[in-house]
Amino acid sequence: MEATLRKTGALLGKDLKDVARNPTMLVCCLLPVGFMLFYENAIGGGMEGEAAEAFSLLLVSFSLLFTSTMVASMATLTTIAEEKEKHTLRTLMLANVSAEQMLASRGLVALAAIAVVDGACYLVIGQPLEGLPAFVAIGVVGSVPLVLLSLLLGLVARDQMSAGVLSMPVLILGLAPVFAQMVDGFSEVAPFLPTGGMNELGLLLAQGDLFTSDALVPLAVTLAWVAVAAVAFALLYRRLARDN
Amino acid sequence: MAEYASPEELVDSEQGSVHVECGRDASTALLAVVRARFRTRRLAFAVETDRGSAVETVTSHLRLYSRLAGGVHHEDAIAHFGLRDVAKLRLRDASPAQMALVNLARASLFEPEVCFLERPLADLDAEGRKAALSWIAERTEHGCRFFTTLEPMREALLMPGSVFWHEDGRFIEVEQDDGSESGADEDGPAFAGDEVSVCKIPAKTDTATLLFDPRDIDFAESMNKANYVSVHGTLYPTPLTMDELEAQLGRFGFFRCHRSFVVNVQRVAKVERYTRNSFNLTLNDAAKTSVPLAKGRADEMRERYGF
Repeated sequence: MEATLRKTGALLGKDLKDVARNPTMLVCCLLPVGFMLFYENAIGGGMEGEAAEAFSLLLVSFSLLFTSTMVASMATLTTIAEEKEKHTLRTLMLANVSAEQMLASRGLVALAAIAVVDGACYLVIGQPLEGLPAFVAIGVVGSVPLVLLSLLLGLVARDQMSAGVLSMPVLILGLAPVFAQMVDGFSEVAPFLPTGGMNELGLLLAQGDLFTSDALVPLAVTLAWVAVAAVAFALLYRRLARDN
Repeated sequence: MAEYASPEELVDSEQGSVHVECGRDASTALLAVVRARFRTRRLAFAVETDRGSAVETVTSHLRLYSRLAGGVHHEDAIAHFGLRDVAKLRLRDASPAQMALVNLARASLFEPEVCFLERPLADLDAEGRKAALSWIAERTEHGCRFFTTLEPMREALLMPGSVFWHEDGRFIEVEQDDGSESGADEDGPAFAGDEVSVCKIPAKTDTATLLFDPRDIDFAESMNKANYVSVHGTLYPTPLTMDELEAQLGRFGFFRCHRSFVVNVQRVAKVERYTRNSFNLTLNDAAKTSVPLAKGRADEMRERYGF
């Protein structure tokens, strides 16, 4: 147990540093913040009344979904693929690091990065400061299914090129609630997708209705997806780690 | 001489440390078997393709693995393997020799009971080989069992343990030198001194037979049932046996330092001893080649040449 904690701690330190040292990861963490800065100032600047309120809610959705999909896929899927391609993952495995320790470290770093980027986006789009802890909590918990899915896909990816292809379903699945309003009949399904519950909870927070009974269904959807993803991860990761 | 039909048989044998001259496929197969067989032991690996993360420095890379290993402090490994001057160098900028030393330093952090090394001496200069061989000798004395895969066999003979070569899927042991053979030149006719004598050592290329002046030869080596002479860093196959080479070259200051080697003593720059049974001659040829000196022949060399 002591050895496991020591190794996971060492990996956490390395992976956290990688967020800042790896240019691809750094860009992917900064992109959602950059997008929000752009939308807030370039598009939302001249809006007033209901339009401004609707646009503000849209930015809340964008913040949660962009951050969740981009950071989850980049901090896990692409980095694992990169480590495979450069043989650094094999060096770690040959140093008696287990797949569990590596995945735990990558997953925790991804969630930490999501928390920081969500917080930055929230401040950039000008939402009230008192809602920040709840917003970050919604973002982190709601991102767990995508992080776990990305970790599994990271085990499957052979190199960075295949990681690019494999990250597409993560992006589509994660961003689906954004496009729900544009497709007839899809808006009823979207809240039940993996990031749909998180999106609804974010919108309720922005409207001041988070702590009402309206939040129960999206909360249940979010927790259900977390549970489904955790079970799928527990069933699949060992075989995927062994085969790949 | 022992012979094994598979990597599993070789690893399960009673041999201590094992050094195998083989290609990449056999090395990969041996690595997998070592990893599976010794899963519960303190294991360390250094594989040729280990490059570390490009953004890491030598120090940060070794610090990470020191924490993972929970053994030797990374600064001790940096000092032993002579990496202090490149401690802040990013791994992406490290030369193959520096990377090889980093890989060995990383393996040393684990204080392994079983250690697998792939081509550990291939890119190293004389100082690097000294650091690597002294660490291997020190760990061997602590009971560590080494499995190394390498080319050429000369490198395998520098290390403590049994030497094998890999051919048609089989691992065949190389007869080790205990120094009991007497030198062929001792019984041969003495050089009269005033007679006209021409000595050229024949060697083959694809299209011609070359005739080398003995003074141009750095050493002669026996490898995989064939004999070679090394001239300006290149090995040329020669039809002469090692005994014939010893007899002919003995008059020109060559010495049979090992069953598989005859060395030009004028080219020897350094004699090193890593353990009680491990000697090494470093030549001042282009590649600063290391050649094994059999324990039993070390005394003879000392008597004959005074060092």
